[in-house]
Amino acid sequence: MNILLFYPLSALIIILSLGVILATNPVHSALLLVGAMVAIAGVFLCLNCEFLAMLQIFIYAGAIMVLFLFIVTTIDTRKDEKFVSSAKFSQASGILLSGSMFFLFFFLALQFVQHLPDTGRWLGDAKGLGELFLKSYSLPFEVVTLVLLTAMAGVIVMSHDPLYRRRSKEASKQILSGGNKA
Amino acid sequence: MIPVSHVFLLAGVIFSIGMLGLFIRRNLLVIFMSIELMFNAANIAFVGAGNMQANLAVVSDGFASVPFVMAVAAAEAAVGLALVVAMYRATGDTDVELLRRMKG
Repeated sequence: MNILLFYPLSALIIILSLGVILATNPVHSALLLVGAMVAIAGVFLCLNCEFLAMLQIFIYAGAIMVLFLFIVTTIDTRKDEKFVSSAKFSQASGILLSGSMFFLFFFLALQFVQHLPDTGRWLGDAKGLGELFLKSYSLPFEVVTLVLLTAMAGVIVMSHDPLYRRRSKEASKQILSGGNKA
Repeated sequence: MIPVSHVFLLAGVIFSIGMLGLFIRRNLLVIFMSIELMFNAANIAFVGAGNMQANLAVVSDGFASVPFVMAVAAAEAAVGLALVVAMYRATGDTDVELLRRMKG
């Protein structure tokens, strides 16, 4: 059962992620990435991790990709023909680095030819992971909340527009005066 | 019975695709999506390695690393998209080739 799903899902993930980097329209890229995230959740299910598959769909497909789509829709994303970087150095280094990364992973994979244990039960269920987080991983668990808090504060500071308050006041004044006239 | 090597190979292919996208694309949004692909490749490798280590009694450490990667990815996405919005406000576009002022 697991092995029947794993290989088609892997092929699907590879096709979708190639689509992400080759699509000319960023909206298409984002939607293909959502599909890839869902397929990766399926791979997690094949690898006996039900809770991580659920987290993958909730956090990636549900939260992060919706954030991406919000930004894509608020900014002007016209389709450009020259979507590939014109810098020859960037192209060459990208192909070289990703090729060498692939061979690094390939030889790493050759080192591990063991088979995964087919236990017939979920290994990564919520109960086991919860025990792990509250016992041996309690300190990293608390630190990661600080990371998220810091990121949130940083985003608020970065996207703060000092002109926004004045502009929105003018806009509301216009709307109100228009409403009075009408 | 999936071999661990095939899981690592899948992770490697996705990581390479993400890295290729990071280098060859010009749109800042697609560059951030490539980074998300690389995070996911790392997660797949973590889950494969965790399965190899896991036995019937205990949930392994490889699984516990995945939610931390997801949390860092969420923080990265928020900060990165704030940078995209800041760049869009400054230049009116998200093409990274417009950012040439740091050329030495």
